[in-house]
Amino acid sequence: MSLRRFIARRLLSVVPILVGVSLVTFGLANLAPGDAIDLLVSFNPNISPTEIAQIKARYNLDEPVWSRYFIWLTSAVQGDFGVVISSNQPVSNVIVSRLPPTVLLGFLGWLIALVIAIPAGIYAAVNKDQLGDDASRFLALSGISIPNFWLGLMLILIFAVWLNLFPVLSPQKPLLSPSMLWFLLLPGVTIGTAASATLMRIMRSSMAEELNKEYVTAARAKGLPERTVILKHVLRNSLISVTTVAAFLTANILAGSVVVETVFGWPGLGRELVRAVVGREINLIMAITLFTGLALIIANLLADIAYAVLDPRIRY
Amino acid sequence: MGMQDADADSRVSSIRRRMLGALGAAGITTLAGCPGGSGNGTEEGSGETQTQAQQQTATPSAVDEIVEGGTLNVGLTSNPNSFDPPYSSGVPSTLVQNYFFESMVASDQQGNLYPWLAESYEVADVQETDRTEYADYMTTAPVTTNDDGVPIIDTPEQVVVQHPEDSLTDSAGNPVDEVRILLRDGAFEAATDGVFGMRLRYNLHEGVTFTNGEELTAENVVRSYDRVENSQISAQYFNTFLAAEAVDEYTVDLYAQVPDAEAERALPYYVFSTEQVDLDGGNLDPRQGNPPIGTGPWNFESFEDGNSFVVSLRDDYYMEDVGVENKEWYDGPEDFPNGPVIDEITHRFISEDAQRAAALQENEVDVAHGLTASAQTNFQDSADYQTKAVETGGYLFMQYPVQVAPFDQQNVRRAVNHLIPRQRMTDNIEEGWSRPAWTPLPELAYGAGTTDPEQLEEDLRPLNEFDPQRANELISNADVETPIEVQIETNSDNQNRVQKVQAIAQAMNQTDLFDATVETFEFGDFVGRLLDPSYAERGNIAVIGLSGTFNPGSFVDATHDIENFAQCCNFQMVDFEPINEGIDEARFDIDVVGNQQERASRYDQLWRQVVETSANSYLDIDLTVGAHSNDIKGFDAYPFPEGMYSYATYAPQSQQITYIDRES
Repeated sequence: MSLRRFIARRLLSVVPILVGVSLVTFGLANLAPGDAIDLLVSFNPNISPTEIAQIKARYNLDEPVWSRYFIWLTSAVQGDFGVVISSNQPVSNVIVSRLPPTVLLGFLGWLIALVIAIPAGIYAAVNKDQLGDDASRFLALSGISIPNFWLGLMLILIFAVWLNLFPVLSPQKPLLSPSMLWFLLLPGVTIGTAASATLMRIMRSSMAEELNKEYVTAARAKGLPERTVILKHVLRNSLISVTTVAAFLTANILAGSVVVETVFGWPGLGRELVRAVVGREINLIMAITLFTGLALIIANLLADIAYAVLDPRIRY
Repeated sequence: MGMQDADADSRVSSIRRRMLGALGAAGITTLAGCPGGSGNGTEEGSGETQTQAQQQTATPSAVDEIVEGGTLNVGLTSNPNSFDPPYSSGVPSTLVQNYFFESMVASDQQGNLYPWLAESYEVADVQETDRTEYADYMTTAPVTTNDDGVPIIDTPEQVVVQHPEDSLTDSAGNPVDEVRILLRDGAFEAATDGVFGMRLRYNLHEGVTFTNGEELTAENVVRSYDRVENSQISAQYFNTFLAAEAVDEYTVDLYAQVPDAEAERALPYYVFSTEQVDLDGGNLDPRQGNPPIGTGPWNFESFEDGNSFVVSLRDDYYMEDVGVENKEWYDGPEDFPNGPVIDEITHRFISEDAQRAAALQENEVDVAHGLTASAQTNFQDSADYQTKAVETGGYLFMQYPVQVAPFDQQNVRRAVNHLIPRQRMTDNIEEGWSRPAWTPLPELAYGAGTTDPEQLEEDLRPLNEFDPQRANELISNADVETPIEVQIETNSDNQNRVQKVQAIAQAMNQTDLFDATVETFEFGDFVGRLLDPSYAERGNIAVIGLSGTFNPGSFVDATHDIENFAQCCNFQMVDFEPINEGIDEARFDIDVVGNQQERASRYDQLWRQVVETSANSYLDIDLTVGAHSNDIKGFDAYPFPEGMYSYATYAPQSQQITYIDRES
């Protein structure tokens, strides 16, 4: 199968996957007791069932669940994801305003993960079973084990409060301004730490495996400098497994953004998702979940394409 | 008023805080600033001194020291859901709305009312009227049922009054065909025909302008009630509001359905501009392209959803023309400013408590509220910061399953009440940032709520003291087998609340009388659970917060009135006729209108009934606390957080003004 046909098939599979995701999400979200209106009017004694019914009818919340799902689906395929009930805002506006901060944070987290993981993984593999390897294993285990909400708060405490190197709040500047990017370093490190730890271990084991192969011995026997052997020959082959794992780690980064955005007060999709869940804003939950699902599908598709580019033997 | 609406961001923050508490509490404490400051007493005893010490309010600023200009940076707990007042009455939304929208009256910290947009007002007529007298102006509407089988009136229009003699169900519990209802047109006709309970006349200041330049007239006031129709707060207003009538360009009459001792406070509402009064519900919002246009002293500058909100001082605020010294009620210095003196207020939405405290500590914000008790204590102890605290109208209460044995017995409920370690909870868990609820009445409602607060506490405190011996006696006199198994439930996202419930369960289990367990639920789940009519049959004790108003009745109506069953906050089908009657007689009775002494004495009786009946136990009363840097002068807290910053920046009725002096 050609790569083009493979991509076309994968893209076609997006539709049933997203419909499945939407069905599961809608069903689960409706299993929780109460809805957004119940929460809003629960603070208001003296409200009568008639008045509650009038408000619910405005948002179709008086319809049965299956009917509400089809109303939502019909609108969604036309690009209308409904409104956020508590603020009366179109969901699409919320997504558009919250997406750039999340993309930037996710990209930064990813970049930091790669910048830490690849050199550290190479170093650990080259110095296998030595002190550096043990140290990297310790750091990797720590990185995976530390909850990112705790790490985030500790980074604020140390670097913003004690050392005054970073602001506590995001500056009121454009997203790509130097001061904003400087502020984003701490959340980026927080979100990238766990991913970098995983990547580093994959990089280390993949590299260590490659270093034992005959072509490496041959390259060394030819008298190639060790630096060339490692960076030109071994690294490229080692990156195949790293690339695959890195794509899956996109899911971790997206999940991590929920917590990290809350801790750092970053106005992205993750923080909005938490608010949506707490406030029973089903339209917003649906849109963010679908968007996240789509992002993951695309990330995996890109990983598959990169896989083929890195290893010419692979054909789809 | 209603269940204390920890907004979504705050609830998220609480979840984070709880997790952090388990893993790294030291970090939070240090984030707040300086070390120390926790009460660790374990004895039930007098924490009175500590509690009183936390209640600090500002002294009025010396006028000649006031510095004009500057930007005040405020750390808010949450993003507002809506700038449209009838479509979000949550704290974060009301807080931002209060910068722009004003009413014909304003209130001080004690709830005393002052004519504001109105130059003056008077209670023009009070007449003995009951709601059946509107029958001639009523129409009929069919009755149907909602998904839960609850009967509802099938009309898209705002129901002002449902005929008191028309039930939605027949004797067999089936929905009736139709009921008589009074709609807004009929209500206006009745009022102008002379059928009403009260008429209040307001004379508006001339020359008051909205920020778009429109002059305020009586028509703005009248039409503003249109925005309330079928909104989230319509029940609150149409509980007593009948109609509004423009008498002339600057005179407006507001009518109440029946004689209402709260009418002066309950009838006036925010006034909207002609440009915005007809906007669809929820659309008065900068996110919909409609930044708020109000009569208040602030111009809307910018709003970045989830991030920041900025207002700037307007230069044509009406008080500049009127002159505050010309207000009849004003008795302060002659040269008191005629509006706020700060040029700009920048608000940042910082949902994480620790981050908000850190931002204050790092001077990235000048003032913040909603901090944890330990952070508040740390700021209070620091020389670089000040805290201002005032008792609020919010308290924590527990409601007993009064329909389920053995809690249908008064003695059992009273026994639990005597096992609540109120003092210990406020000392140890709230670190003194709350007050034990020895009576069901917060201080802010003392005015009309009691004839003698000290006497009331002296009378009721023995019934609410921690007293295991008395609990034992009460259970001995009850027809019950011990230990009594019971589950106490609360929401999991409020750490202090959970700790209080655990302390109560622990105190109950230390006796041989009870076997209490604690179950917690996420806030939304818990609300859904409580509002389910079947909750009353489960036999569990519910613990949740309640926020009232300056109206003393708000602290008992929500929890006792059977009409609030399966709503906020009668979850257990509490229905005691003498209390229901007492609630009405202390408010909707011609003898208490304008007679505060009579009204207060009726409430005195009611509080005794409430405590003796013990359908609910009141645990502790919150403080509203603001912490600020020393650059900020004159700042003071307001009982309700939603009024905190609009009040602090300018409230001449209390000679309250905040200014910035960064040089000092």
